[in-house]
Amino acid sequence: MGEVKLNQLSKRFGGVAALSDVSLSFRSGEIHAVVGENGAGKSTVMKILGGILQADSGTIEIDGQLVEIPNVLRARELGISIVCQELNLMPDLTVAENIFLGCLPTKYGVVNRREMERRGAELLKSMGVDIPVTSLAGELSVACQQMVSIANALAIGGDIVILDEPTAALNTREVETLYGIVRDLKRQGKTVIYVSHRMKEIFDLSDRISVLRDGRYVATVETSASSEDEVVSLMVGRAVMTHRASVSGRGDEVVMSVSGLSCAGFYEDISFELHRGEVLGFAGLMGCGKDELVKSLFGLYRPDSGVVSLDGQVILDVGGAVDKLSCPRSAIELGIGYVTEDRKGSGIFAAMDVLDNVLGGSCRLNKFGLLDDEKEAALLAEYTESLDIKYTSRDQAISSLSGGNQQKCMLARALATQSERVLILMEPTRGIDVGAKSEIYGLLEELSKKGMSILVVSSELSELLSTCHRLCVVFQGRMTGLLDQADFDEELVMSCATGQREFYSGASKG
Amino acid sequence: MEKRNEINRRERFRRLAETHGIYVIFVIVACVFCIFEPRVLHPSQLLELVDRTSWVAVGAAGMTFAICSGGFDLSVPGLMALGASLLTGFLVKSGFSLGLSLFLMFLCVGLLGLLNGLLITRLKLQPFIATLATCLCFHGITQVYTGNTGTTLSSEQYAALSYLGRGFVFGIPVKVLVVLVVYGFMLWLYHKTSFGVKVRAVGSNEQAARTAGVNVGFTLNWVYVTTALMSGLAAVLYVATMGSSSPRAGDNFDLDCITAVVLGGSSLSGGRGRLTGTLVGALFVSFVKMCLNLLSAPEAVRAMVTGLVLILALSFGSLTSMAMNRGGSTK
Repeated sequence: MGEVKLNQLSKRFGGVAALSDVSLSFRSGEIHAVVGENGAGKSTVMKILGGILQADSGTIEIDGQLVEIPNVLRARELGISIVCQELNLMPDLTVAENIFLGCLPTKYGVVNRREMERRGAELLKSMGVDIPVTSLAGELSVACQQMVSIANALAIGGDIVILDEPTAALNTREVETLYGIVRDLKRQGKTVIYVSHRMKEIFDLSDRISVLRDGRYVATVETSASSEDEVVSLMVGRAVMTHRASVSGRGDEVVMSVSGLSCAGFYEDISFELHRGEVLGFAGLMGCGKDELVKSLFGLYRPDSGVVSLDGQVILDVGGAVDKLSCPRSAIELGIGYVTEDRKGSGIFAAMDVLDNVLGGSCRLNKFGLLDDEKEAALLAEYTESLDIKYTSRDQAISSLSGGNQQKCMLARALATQSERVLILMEPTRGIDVGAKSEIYGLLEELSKKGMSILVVSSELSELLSTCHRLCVVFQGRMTGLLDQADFDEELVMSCATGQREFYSGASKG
Repeated sequence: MEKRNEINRRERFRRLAETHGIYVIFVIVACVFCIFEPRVLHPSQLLELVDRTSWVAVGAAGMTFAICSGGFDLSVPGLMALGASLLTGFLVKSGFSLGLSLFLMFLCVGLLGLLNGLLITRLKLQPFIATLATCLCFHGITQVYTGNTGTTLSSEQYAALSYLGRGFVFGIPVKVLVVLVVYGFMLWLYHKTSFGVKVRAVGSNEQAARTAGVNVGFTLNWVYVTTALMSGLAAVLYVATMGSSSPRAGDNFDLDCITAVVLGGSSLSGGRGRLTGTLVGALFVSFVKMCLNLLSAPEAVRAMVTGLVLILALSFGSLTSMAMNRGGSTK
C-alpha cells in the first residue's frame, strides 16, 4: 500500500514547460524528500499527484495500478492527501470545520458537530499541538494555521501524504512537532512525500531524496549515503558556497537611532543604533514582539512612547509630538524601504503584471500623473537586471513567477521607491529555495557595501547568523541581547531568546 | 500580558460593535421616528410593517446564502415578480388548484435559480453580471406572460391564501410565524448541515475549498436555487397579502434584500453570514420605509434619509473603534 510511480509526466503552462518527462517512484512506507530550486517543478508534480492539476502527458501508477486523477476527490479516494505550499484554509470556518471539510461526519447531510469537534481535538492532540477546535481559523497564528492544514490532510487517513513545504511558517520548536508527526506517519506505514527547501530537515527526516531541476528529474539518492553538498550541487548543477557576512561595508556613522521605544502589548523600552552599511538582525521566538517592533519603524504600528531619529533628525517623538512615521507612505518619503514577510497576503498584487508590481508604488514616474512607458521599461530593466529576476515579459502575471523571483520583485519594489536610507526585510527568504536564498544573501551584502543600512527579521537563526553584522534578540517584548558578530553563537542567541540570560557585546553596550 | 488582554478586549468589543451595532442604531432610529411621529406605533402601522418585512426578510435569507458563498443574486426582483405573476396566472388564467399552482411556481422559479447557478459555475460568469442579465430576462418573461398588467384573485381563489396573508394565530400574524420558521430552517441549514459548511467554505476561500475536496460547482448551483426558492416564497407572501400580483412586485426588492444582509453584519466578501442580523436588517429597512411613507415624505427626502441611515448603521463599528482609540491614547 502506498507505492507511487510517476511515469514521464509533462506539463506546460502557456508557453512554459513546467515539467518535462519527470519519472519518480515512491516506495511504500518511506519518507521521500523532493527537492529542487525555484521553478524546478516540485510543486507542480505534487499538485498533479494530488489532483489539483492535470498532467499533459504521462501516467501515474499506485500500487501497480494505472490511475487517472482528474480532481481532488479522486485523489482522496486513492488515499492521497496533500498539504499545499500556500496556506489553504478557510479563515471564516472553525478549526474543526477546516480539518474535516472534505469528509464531514454527517447523517442525511446534517453535520454531527460534537463528533467532528471531538475527533478534531483528538487529532490535534495526537499531533502534539494545542489549538482550540472551535476558534476561527482566520484568528490563528500562521504557524497554527499550518498545523491545521496538516491536520486536514491527516483527517482523510490516506496512505500517501504529501507535505509541500510544511515548515515555511514554523519556528524551531514547531518544526520539532512536525518531525514527530511525520515520523509517526512513517511508523503507521504511510508514504510521506516531503517537499522542502531546508537541507537540515531533509537530512533529519528523509529516507531518500529526489532532486528536480528546471522541470526535469535529476537523481534520487539514499539520504544516509549522501551529503548536503552533494544534494545542493545536484539541485543547482554547480557547487554553492555557504554565505558569511563581510563587515567591509559597515561604517561608524549612525543612520537610525531608536531609544526607549514602547508599544503596549507588543514591546517595551527598546533602544538601538543602526549604522551606515550595517545589517542588523532581529531574533526571537514567534510572538516575542520583534515583528511589531520593526514594523513600527515603517509606520505599521504606532508606538506609545520613545524617540526615533534618522540621520540625526528626530522623525518620531511620541511625547514631543513629532510624527513623521505615521504611515508607510511617510516612512517611504523618509527613505525607508520595506519587504513584507507575507508575500501572498500583503506583498504581491497577484492579478497584476511584473511591471506594475515592481513600479506600481514608485513615485518617480509621475509626470502630471501620467506614466512614461520608456522610462518605466528602463527602470524595470535596471532593477530586474541588478537583482537577476527571471521573467519572460514585463506584462507577465507576477503570480506565474516562482517564489524566489516574486521575492526579488518585492525587493525591487522597495528599492524602486527611493528607499536610500534604511531597508527593512521581514523573513526575506521565506518559502524560497536554496539557490534563490543565496542570491538574496548576496544582494544584501552588495547593498550593505553600497552603504545601505538593513534591518532583517527572520525566524531562521542560521540565516541571521550568516547575513548580519549585529544581532538584536527580543524576548517577551524586551531586548535581552545585542550581539556583535564576534559573539555570534546559536546557543547563546537561543538562551537570550528564551529569556534564560541577557547578553550585550562590549562594543554595543550603551 | 495584561496589556495584551486589554487590546484583545478592545478588539472583541470593536467586533461586537461591528456585528451587533445594528441593534443599537435600530433602537435609536426607531426612537427618533416615534418621537417625530407617534402614529408609527399604531397597530395598523405595525401590521403594515409586518407586511413589508415578511417578504424582504424571506428574500434576504436567501440572499444571505448567496452573499456568504462569495456571490450575489441580483435576479431576485425578477424572480419575485415572475413568481407572483405565475402564481396568480396559474390560479386565474389556468384555473389550477392552489397546491398545483404553488408547486408549479416553485418548480419554475427553482429551475431559473439553477439557470443562474449554471451560468456562474459552468460559463464562469461573474455572479453580479450573470444575475443582473437574467433579472432583465425574467422581467421580460413576466411582461410577456402578464401582458404587463396585474392580476387580481377572485375572493374564492384568495380564500386559502388570505389565511397566510392576513390570518392570525393567538394574535400573531401567520406571516410572522412563517418568517420565523423560514429563519429557523435557514439557520439550521447554515450551521448544522454539510451544505451550510460548504457554502461558507466556498465563500471563505474558493480555491482552498476545492483543494479540500468540496464540489464547488454543485454547492454554488444549490445556493442560487435556494435564493430563487426564497424569492418564490416572498412572492407567495406578497400575493397572500395583496390578493393580487403586479409585474412591478419586485421593484427595489434586490436592494432591500442586500441592504438587509449588509446591515445584519454579513461580510460582502463572503464566508461570514449572519442570518439573525439579516432578519433585524430586514425589519430595519422596512421600518424606515414605512416611517417615510407615513410622513408622506417626498421621494428626494426618502432617498436621502435611506442613504444616511445606511451609512450611519454601517459605519457604527468604525465610529466606535475610532472613539475608543481616542480614549485609549490619552491614557
